Amino acid sequence: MMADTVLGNLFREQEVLLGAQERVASQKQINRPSDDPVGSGLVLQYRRMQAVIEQYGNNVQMGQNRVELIETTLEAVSDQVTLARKLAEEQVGNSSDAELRLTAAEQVDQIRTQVLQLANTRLDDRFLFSGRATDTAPFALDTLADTVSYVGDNSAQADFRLTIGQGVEVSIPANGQEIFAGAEDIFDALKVLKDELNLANPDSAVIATQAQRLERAVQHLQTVRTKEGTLTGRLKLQQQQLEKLGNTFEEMRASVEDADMAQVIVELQMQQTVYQTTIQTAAKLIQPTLIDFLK
Amino acid sequence: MSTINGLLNTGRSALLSHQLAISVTGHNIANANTEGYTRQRVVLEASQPIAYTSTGSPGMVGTGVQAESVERMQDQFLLGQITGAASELGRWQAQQGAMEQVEIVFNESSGFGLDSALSDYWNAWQDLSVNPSGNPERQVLVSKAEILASTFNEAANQLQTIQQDTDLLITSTVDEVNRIADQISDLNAKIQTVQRSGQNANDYLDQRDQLLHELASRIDITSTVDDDGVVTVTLGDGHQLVGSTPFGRLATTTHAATGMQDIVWDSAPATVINADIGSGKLHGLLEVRDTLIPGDLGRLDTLAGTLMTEVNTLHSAGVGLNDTVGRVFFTGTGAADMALNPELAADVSRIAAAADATGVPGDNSNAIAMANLAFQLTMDGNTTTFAGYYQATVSSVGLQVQESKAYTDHSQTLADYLESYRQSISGVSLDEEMVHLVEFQHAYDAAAKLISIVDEMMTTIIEML
Repeated sequence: MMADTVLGNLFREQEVLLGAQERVASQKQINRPSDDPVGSGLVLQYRRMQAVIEQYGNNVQMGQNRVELIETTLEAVSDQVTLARKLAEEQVGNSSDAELRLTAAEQVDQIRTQVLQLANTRLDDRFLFSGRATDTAPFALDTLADTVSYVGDNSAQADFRLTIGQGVEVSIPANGQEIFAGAEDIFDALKVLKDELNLANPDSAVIATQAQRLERAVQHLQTVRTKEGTLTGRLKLQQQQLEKLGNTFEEMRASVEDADMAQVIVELQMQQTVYQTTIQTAAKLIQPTLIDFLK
Repeated sequence: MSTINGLLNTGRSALLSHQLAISVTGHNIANANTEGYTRQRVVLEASQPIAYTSTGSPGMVGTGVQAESVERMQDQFLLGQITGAASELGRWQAQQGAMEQVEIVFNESSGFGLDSALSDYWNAWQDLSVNPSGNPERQVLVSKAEILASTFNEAANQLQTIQQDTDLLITSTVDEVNRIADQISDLNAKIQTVQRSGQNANDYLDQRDQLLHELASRIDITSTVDDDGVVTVTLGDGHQLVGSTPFGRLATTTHAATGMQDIVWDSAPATVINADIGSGKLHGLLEVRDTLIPGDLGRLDTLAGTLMTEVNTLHSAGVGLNDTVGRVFFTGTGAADMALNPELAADVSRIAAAADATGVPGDNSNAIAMANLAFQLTMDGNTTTFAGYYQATVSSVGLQVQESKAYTDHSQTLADYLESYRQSISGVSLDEEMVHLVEFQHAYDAAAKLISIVDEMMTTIIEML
């Protein structure tokens, strides 16, 4: 009878000891759903939030890459167009030096080629400025007519949609028509300028008009770049917030799931002491019987 | 009238009685560790006294001692409580054992990780939304979708396996019940024979109590003992398993729809008595097989089913890179047969990231809508998300296990308490037996001394002649 009670106590203490040992080994407070049904549900939720936050972080990173490339590209376009504008301004009123004018025309042509190339920039084989038609080069040069025209997506849905948070979307400009011909058609202005400069008797007024058109185009590019700048700031802010949010969820998960090592080790040691005491007292209890004292 | 011969007889009765008492004490010591053994005791009583004189003078003279009977030291009412506790313990132990296996399926760290598979799947749609025409993103989505489907399959299969294992256990437990019932019937016959001859069938009674205990841990029983010492065991439906008019033995029959085993009487194989079994291991196993596991499986199926419906509706409305067929994304009807549409795996460009043909290939609106499904309240009457529903499922499985553990602990404590109470009455204490041994030995020595003194008295008389 005594033996049964002693054995029962030993088993119980052993089980508690094993539980404490498991928590120390796994460093987790919850090792199976039944350890804490509600807590293990919360852990799932926090892990899921962490996973989704990490994904949004990746999305933001992709967005930043894209915006950065757009920014660099548009900066180069601005530089080129400004250069063309300066060339045009220099040639206003120049009717004597034909050689200089032809060189200028040559330069403007090169600038146009350059801008065309920039407008057809690709990121991972996808065109940046052709809207959703990412597999089509947005601007095409018609060699016969010597004109550049937009063949990309010109619809209202052309801008690139990016999810950067739960229910939070930003749209990154991708409509080449809007960017490169929104205020003034850059390619058209450059073509008119080049053709005029190539004439034997160019009309200074036409050249001056083109210079003004290019000026407006640069201003429009500036507006687009300012928007991109705002977007960059927005993405950076979102990334910081996601990081903070990720840390918060990690802390929340840890507070539910992870074991406080100091605490579990103290618990383990206490339980060890209890177990050893149980064994020792059991040994003392079981040994003596009346037989030892007879005779 | 008291004679010298009478004195010899008194000494003889004392010798024999104490020898018997020592023999019973020895039997107790020998069975100190026998499970279910009940301590026995010799009931000694003074023999019929005789008149001191034939003239009717007052006073009677004793004639020694006699062993009236050998008794079992037990509390009759305790047996019913112990068998009741054994039934409850058997029920919850069986349930805990099976539910702990179920819990493994839903344990993210050691199980199949359905939750992370689901997260990965939605994230793959996010990746595709960032690069809607990208082939690598499409390949990743295909593989994540396949992992998600196979995770559902494995979880469902595992639950079904546990259910089938439980079913096998039910059949073997029914066999055990029948075997124990046979043994109890045998003992009934032996006990009846012994009791009719006016004896106490102590050791047979112990064995039978032990068997009743084992039977009760498997199925809830009611037992009554009649005057002949024959026990009648009745099951929850009122029919006798053991007794004077036994209904038969238990048997199993295959349920037409589920293919699982139903419990019936072999004498009435058409009447299923699953519901009449109210406790014991069989009840615990039936609960697991017919209620708990189907419940968890049902939740998995609902989750997989709704997920497939929602995803398929969106997907078939969208368009692929060169494909406007409107294909479903997943095939199947539930968790067990969910699979990625093989047409998509064969050609990943068919995955519909775009909402309509005009936006191809750069349109990502369908991919974004798909990724947003993760946050939509689609489950439980549009009150929670897919992941929220799964989370509730995991919590409810955790609660089921916790509950069965708590009940097991509780019934274990009760059974332990009753057992130790029984032991305090019926158990053998070696110390007590040693005290008796010393007592009886001294009495035996004294009786021997009495005989030798009577012998001396007789010698004295003979020498007088």
